[in-house]
Amino acid sequence: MGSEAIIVFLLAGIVLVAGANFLSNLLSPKSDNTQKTIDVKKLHLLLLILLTLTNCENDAVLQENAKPTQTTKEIKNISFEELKLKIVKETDIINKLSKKNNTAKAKFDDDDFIYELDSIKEFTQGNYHSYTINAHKKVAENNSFLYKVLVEKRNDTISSKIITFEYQNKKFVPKSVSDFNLKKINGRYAPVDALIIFVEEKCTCHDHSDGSSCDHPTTTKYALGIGSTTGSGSTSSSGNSTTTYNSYGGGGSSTTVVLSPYEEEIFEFRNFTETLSVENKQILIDSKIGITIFNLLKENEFNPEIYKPLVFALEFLKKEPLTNYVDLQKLLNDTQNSPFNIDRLSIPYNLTKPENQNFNELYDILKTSPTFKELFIDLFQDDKRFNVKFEIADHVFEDNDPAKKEVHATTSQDPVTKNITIKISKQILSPDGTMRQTKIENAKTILHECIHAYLFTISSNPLVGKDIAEVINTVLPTVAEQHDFMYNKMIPTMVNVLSQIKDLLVTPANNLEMKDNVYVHIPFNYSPSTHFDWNDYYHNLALAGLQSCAFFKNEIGTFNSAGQPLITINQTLMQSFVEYIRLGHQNIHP
Amino acid sequence: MKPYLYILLIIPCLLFSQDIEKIKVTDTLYIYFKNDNVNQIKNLANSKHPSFNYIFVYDLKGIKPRQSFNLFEDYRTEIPETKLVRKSFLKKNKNIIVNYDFFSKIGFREAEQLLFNKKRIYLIDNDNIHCSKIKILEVKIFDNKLLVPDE
Repeated sequence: MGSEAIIVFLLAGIVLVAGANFLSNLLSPKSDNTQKTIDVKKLHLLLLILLTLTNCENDAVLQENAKPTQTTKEIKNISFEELKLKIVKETDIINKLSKKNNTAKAKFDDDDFIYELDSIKEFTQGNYHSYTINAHKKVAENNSFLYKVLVEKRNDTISSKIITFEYQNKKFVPKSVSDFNLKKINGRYAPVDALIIFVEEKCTCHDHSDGSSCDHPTTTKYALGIGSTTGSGSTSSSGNSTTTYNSYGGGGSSTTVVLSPYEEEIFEFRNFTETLSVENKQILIDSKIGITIFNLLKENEFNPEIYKPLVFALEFLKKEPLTNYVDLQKLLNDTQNSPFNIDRLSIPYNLTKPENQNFNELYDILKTSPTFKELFIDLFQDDKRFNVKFEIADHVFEDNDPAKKEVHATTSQDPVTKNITIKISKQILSPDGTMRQTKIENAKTILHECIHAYLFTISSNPLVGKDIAEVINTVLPTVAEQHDFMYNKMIPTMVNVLSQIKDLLVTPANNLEMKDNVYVHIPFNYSPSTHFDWNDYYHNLALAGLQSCAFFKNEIGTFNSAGQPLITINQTLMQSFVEYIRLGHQNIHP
Repeated sequence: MKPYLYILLIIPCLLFSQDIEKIKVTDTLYIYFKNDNVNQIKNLANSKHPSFNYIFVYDLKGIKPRQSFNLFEDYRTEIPETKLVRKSFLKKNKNIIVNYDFFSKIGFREAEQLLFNKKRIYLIDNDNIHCSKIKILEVKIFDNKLLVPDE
C-alpha cells in the first residue's frame, strides 16, 4: 500500500469518525454518563480499523498475510494439443509456439527461443487460466536467465507474455515481463497488475513418478508489480517482494506463473551440462550416472568448484567405462574430495589393478598424517594455482628418459605451466613387480616425491608455504639441490610423517615383533646385537633415496649403483643405514 | 665319518672338479656356511622364529669397505622351507653345493648375479650339521639396490 493511500485512509477515517461523533451528539440523548462516551469512542476506533482493512482488501496489490480466498486453484500438466483447443482462435500464439510460418502477418523464423511444448502447466482459479511453457534461448547468451511463456485466459480474453527471471542468491527473481505475441521480443513490457509465482510443493506423500502433478500444492510465493501498470516500458524492480512467502491470497485477476519446485536445481544442473563438450554430454547420458552427478552437485550446493573434478570423472569414464557401482562411487567421491589441483584420476580404484589399489591405500594413509597435510595437502589442495598429478607407469626412468636407468619414481615440473607430475613405477607397487617394496617403503617413496613437488613449488613461489619455510629458515633449493635440502632440512618432517602413519602400515603383531625380536648389529656386522628402534628406522628410511647427494656422501659414505658401499666416512652411520634398511625390508610384512 | 668332516673333505675336492657352467644353469643351489666372524658372519636377525642373516664378505686385499652379500630366511609371506637330509643327500648333490671359496673364486659381482638368478637357494649352516641329519634352510639374497633407491 502506498503512502498516498495511507493518508487517504487516515483522512477518510478521521472525517467519518468526526461525522459519527457529530451525528451521535445530535441524535443521542444528552447524558453525563462517561461510560457511554468511552463505548462510543471504542466503536469509532473499531470502525476506523474496519475501514482501513476494507481499503486494504480493495487494493489491487496482494498483501502479506492476506485472507485466503475460498476459490479453488488447480494445477495440471496438459499437452500442446490440449492447449491449442483451449486457445484455438489465437493462431499467432499457436504458430509462434509451434514455429509455423503460415501466417502472412507474422513470420517467426527469427524467434530466439525454443519452447518445451511437452510440459505445459495449466493453472486454474475460477475463470482465470494460465498456461506456463518453458522457453530456452537457442543460443545461450547468459546463464543467469530463465524464461517462461505465459498464456492467460480470463473469461474469454486471451493474452500472452514472456517472463524473464534472473538467478540471484540461488533463487529466481522476476526481472521483466514482455508481450509474447510480437514478431520479436524486443523489451516492450506488457501491463501486469501483479505477478504471482506459484511454486508447486515438493510432494512427499504421493508417487509422481508417472509425471502427474501434486493435487495439493499449498506453498506460493509471489512478486508484486512486475512490469508496469502504466505500460511505460520500464521494468519495475520488485525483487524484495519475491522473498515473501505466503499462502495463496486470491487475486484471480493477477498473472500467475507456475514454477517447478526443482526449477533452481534443474537450472543449476543445466548450467553444469552447458560447460560439457558434446562428447562428455553423451558420456553423461550413456553412462547413466546423471542422477549421481546431479546428487553430487546438489550436495555441494552446485558450487562450480566441483565442475572440474566431475568433468575429470566423465573423461575417465570415456577411457575406461566403469560398470562396478562401488568403483564408480569411489571415483566420483575421489574426484569430489580430491580437487583438480591434486589429480589422482589416472589411478582409479580398481580391484584388477593391485598397483592402483596399493597406491590409493598408501595415499589415503598419508593423508591422515597432520604433517603430510600441512606439507602437501594444504599447499596443493587449497590453492588453485598449483597442480600436481600422480601417475603410475609400467617403468619409470631417470629424467623420464627410457635411455637412462630405471628408477622407483620421478617428480617433474612443466617449465611453462609449472604443473607437477609425480610418476610412480608399477614395479615397486605391484606384488610381482621387479622392485617391489614394503608398504612403509612405498609410503616413503610417495612422501619423497611429494616433498620434491613441495620444493618445486615453494622454490618458484617463495611466499608460498611461508610457515614451513620460516621454520626451515633457509634459502630455498634449486632443482639440483633438492636432495641436499631434504637431507639437511626435511628429514625430521619425513620422520614425523612416517611415525604418524606407521600404525596404519604395520600390523600390531608385526610392530611388536619388530620391537621385541628384531636385532641390529652396529657399528659392525659382528657387533653385539641391539633391539630394532622405530625412530632410527624412520630416520634411515628417510635417508634412502638421498645417497647421491653431497651431504650424504660427505657425512655417511658413497655407494655404487648396486648398493655396495665404496667409501665409508662414518662407520656407525653407514652400518646403521644398511642394517635398518635391510632388517626393515626383511622383517616388516609387505 | 661325521657329516661335516665329509663336507670338509668333499667341498675342496669338488671345487676344482665342479662344472661352473652347470652351477650357473641349475635352478637350485646349496651353499655351505661356516661362521668365522670375518668373512662369513652369522647374525641373529629375529629371535621370534629364530632367523639369521648370513653375510658373505669379500676380502679385497684389505681395501675397505668390503663388499658383501646377505642371505636371510624370509618369513614375511610364508614360512621358508627347512629340510632334514642325510649325508647321502650331499653326495647326490655335490655338483651344486658351493662355499665361500667358490664365491671368492668367481668374484663378487658374478657370485651375486648367480644367486639372483636362482629360483631356490638352500643354506647348509655348519651349526646345523648333527650326527646323522643335516638341517637345510631355504634363504633369499637381499637386494642391496634397496639401499640406493633412485627417487
